[in-house]
Amino acid sequence: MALEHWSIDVTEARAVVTTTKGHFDKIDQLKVDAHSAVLDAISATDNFEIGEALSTTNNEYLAVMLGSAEAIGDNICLKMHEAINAYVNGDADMATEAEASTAGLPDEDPEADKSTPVVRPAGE
Amino acid sequence: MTVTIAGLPEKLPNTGDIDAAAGDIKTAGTNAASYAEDGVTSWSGLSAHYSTPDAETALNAVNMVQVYADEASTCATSVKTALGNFADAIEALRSEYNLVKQLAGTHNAVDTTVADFDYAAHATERNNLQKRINDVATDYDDASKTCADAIRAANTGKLFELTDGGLPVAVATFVTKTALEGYTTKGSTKYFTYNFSAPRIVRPAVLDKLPIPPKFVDRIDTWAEAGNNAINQKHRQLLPDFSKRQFAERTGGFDPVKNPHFTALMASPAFRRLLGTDGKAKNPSLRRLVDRHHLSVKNGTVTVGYAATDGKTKGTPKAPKWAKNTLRGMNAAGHVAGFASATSAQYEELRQKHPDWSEAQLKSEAVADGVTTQVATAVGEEVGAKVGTQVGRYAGAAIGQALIPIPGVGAAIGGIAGGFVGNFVGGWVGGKVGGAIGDWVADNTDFTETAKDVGESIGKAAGKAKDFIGGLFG
Repeated sequence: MALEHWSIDVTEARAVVTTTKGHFDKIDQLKVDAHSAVLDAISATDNFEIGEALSTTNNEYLAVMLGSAEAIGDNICLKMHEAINAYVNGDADMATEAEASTAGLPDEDPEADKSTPVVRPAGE
Repeated sequence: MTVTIAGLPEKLPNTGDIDAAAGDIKTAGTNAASYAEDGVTSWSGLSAHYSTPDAETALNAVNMVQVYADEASTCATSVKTALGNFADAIEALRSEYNLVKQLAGTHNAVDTTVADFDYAAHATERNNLQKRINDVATDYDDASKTCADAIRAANTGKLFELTDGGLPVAVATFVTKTALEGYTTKGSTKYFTYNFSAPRIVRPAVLDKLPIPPKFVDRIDTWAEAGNNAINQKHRQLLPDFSKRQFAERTGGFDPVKNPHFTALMASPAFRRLLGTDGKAKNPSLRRLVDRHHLSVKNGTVTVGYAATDGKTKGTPKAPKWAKNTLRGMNAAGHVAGFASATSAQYEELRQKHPDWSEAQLKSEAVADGVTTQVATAVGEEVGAKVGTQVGRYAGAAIGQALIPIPGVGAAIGGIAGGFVGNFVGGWVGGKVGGAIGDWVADNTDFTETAKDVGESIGKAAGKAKDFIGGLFG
């Protein structure tokens, strides 16, 4: 059953979501890279005061920004994926809810990530 | 009449290594912005294939990713600049540093017992050389401080920026209802005072997360592995009032022998010098560090206080009894994020290490460690501090960002109300907290009433959590 006022090229839209998720996923590794580089800088400077500042700034801000960018991006792609699936299934309520969630908050349940479905490649 | 080079660093760092690490930090930030931009560009293609009544919401959602990534890039670039400037300063010092050390060796080797020795000339040489040495030491310390300050300034916390009140009240109220001692108003700014005063031992796993230079820890590790006898002796020197058994009992089963890493750090000469009067006096850099962290040794007990992160001074709280331990204008929101971030990481680590633990135990321990990691920015046996915080009004958008929880990491990165509290005592509490703050912002009610409501919500819902926190912070 089609959703009124909804028009989605499912294959193309899924392709966009998949491509976008690929870009955002790469940010996840950057948090590891930044942390490693910060540790290198702490060792290289060999200075307690600078080391403390590096660690604090990384832990309190840089890592938070990188982690948030990746997590929010991942959430947006996931919710859009759910919205498209719901559209395909003709589930108006779920589609609307998922679409609205793209701009919302990631699920705060720490266990939620374990069951997070992977965005399927286009055409599946 | 010898000269001393005790004020100089043992050696100057390799600036090539500094520049390389700084470049890697910047690259991580700029790549994040680039990947985010790629994602946003890709996402824009969705508009051609996706048409719904509310499509604009979904199409614009990715902009927030770019905001976070750009913040990371800005931060990383600032850190890189600070480190680069430090490296330049070190290179500018290097020749004089090497020369004065060489001259000091020569001067101190002079045989002053020979007949007709010109003591006056030797003293003049000594005074002049000591001044040059001291100048080099001062320049090094200044360069260190400038670099550290610039790096701290990169921790802007813009997305959590406070302008007039709200979330930190919930933080304080959650930590313990009694922690929020009071507030005072100066001009249009309110200053809050929290009282975190109760002992807590730092577990070795948390020790690893504390901002201690790896080389420093490595040296201590090496020393610790030399033998437990030495550790025991140093332990007794540092904690003369505690037997090993008492120490283990008071620290909840912590065995200093089985945890030489921690004990060695506590008892190490380097750490004691760091905390001791002589160490403070001789090393301005350490003195600033010690002062900032309120590190002290009294009656054999190492005490670690709280640390400000941005050094801003925006006013003086009025309550005199805690004024001496109060930090003003601290980056409260940054610490909020830090609490959550540290707790998240520790939760995951504990969950993997202790699959038999209950969820409540995992969260309790994770919160304790997260708080410790965040609060004790150096190592100590006790955490005790009183913190004064400037609190401002949140913009509506900032609240939304601050309450963003991140999935899969055990607790929220974005903020205490929605994530830290929510994960700890249940999601609905987080919702109440967030709602209370939101209502206050919307209605512009007096913040103290909101704080009270928030505290009551938490208090009713999380007696167990509150008890734990109360035990933690006294």
